[in-house]
Amino acid sequence: MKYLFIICILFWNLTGITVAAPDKAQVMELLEGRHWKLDVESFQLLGDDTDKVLIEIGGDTSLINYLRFRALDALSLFPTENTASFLELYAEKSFAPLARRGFEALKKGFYKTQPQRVKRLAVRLLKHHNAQVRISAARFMRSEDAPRFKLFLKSESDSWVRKEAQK
Amino acid sequence: MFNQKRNLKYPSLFLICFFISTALFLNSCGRFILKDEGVENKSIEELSGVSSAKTNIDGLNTTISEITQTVGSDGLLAGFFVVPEDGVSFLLSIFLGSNYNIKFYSLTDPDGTDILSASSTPNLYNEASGRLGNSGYANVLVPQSPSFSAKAGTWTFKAYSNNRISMALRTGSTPSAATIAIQPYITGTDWSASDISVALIIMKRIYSKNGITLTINDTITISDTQYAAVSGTFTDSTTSALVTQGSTAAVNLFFIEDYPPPPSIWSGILGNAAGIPGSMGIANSWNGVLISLTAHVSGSTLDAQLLGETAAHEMGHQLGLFHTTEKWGTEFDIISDTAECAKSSRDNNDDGLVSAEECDGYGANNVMFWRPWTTSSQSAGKKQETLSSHQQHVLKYSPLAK
Repeated sequence: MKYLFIICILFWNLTGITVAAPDKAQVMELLEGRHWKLDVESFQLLGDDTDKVLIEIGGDTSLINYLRFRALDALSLFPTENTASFLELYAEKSFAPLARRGFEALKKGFYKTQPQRVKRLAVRLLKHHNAQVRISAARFMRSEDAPRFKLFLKSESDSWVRKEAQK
Repeated sequence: MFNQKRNLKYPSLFLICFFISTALFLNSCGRFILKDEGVENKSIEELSGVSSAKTNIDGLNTTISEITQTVGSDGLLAGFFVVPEDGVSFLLSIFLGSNYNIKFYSLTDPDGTDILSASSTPNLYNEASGRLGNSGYANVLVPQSPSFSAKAGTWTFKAYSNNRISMALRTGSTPSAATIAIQPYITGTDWSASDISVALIIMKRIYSKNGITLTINDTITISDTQYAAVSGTFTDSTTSALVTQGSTAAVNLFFIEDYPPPPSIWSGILGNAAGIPGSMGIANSWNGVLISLTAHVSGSTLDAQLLGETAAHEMGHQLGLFHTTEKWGTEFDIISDTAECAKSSRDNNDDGLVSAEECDGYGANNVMFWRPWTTSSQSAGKKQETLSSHQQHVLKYSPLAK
């Protein structure tokens, strides 16, 4: 009787914590459209393991970019360690449009829980070769670390970048 | 005697000269003697409501003019304009220097029907940005569906606070076909004009199949790095500076490298137009559409078919076409001959949206359907290349067509 009870408890726990990852097709469906906006509620209904599918989509270089961009945006809804590592990697190592989105998704998903982690990445991105990535990082620093933002404005050679960073 | 003769002769000469010079003077001022009481001795400009010289758009039978407004006892600005017998279409635009909401109160045709009133049939009450209101700029296009026409006679309007009202008026014979000029621009340094040439050919083919000829000008490269990634908000200072560079005689397609990332709401979109319709014939912030090139990249190449369809779709918006079916399958365009894909019967997976796949046979192949085919359907050959007869009507009557 005692063993049966333990088995029941184990089974109950397992069913409680195991939520099957959604189908890739199911996630892709939510990323489609010409004029797209992140549908928070629909993504949250997919369950916790959605981050794995979104990471797979975001990292799939054979996919059309608009799906990858949207996958990164949606990842901000699933703030796991896997997500954070993936977004950091893409913010630093990927091509500029994906790098910007990686940083913004990290900021959105992790600023409340790990602000220093976001700030460390922003500091590194202030020196990115792409102006648009620098702008994204600088806008974050403006409210986060005013002295460092002022230093950025002094060192930035493109006047339009300085102007955009202050928008 | 001589003196007497001269005294009689010179007054006559004086009078003749006086009448001739007066007639010439009045004629040069555009003034004519009119029999109607109340309009006597008024200029053509005053009689048509137009307050400034008309500007012709190159190569088109369309003129741009400013319209005089006066403040009424109700506090609204009011004015009028005259559509001639050979009027084809017009776009009435309202401007405010800031980004405050701006809109018309009414627009009444020569028969006395206020086409912006909810109680008129048909009406543009919930459709025209000129009635709904918009930031800094709003407009009303006639015809935006075959249910409307640019009737000859005097139209009157009332509008809320604004800086100015202008009108693009097209005249000429009733259109049976149309040619529309396209001016492509490309920003940034990642892509060149040759990279978008196939997509432009696809867009041209899409319109050609639907009875509209596109004349595509040479692509202009704008390499200033500040325009590589711009906001989809047309009042944004950088976007405005970019779009204002657009041609006044063409639909301007700005192929930008990218939109800004989140929190910008534009981060995930393929393209957007300045309005439904946008501005026509005037160099301003709303005179074009934006299309993201980076979003259309698959591997390392542009998806030319999807890019061509996006360009065709955004151009349709810019000229006044709505989505045939909106995402929830509960709202449809104002055009009566486009297929509707209703949620009640077509949302097979019950996710609250009507996808192109669910609407196959129910308008998913229309250029203006809200959503493109999924990548797998596109790979299977699915395309969005059709426009209905009434959608073609709107384009053929456009102030930017000839």
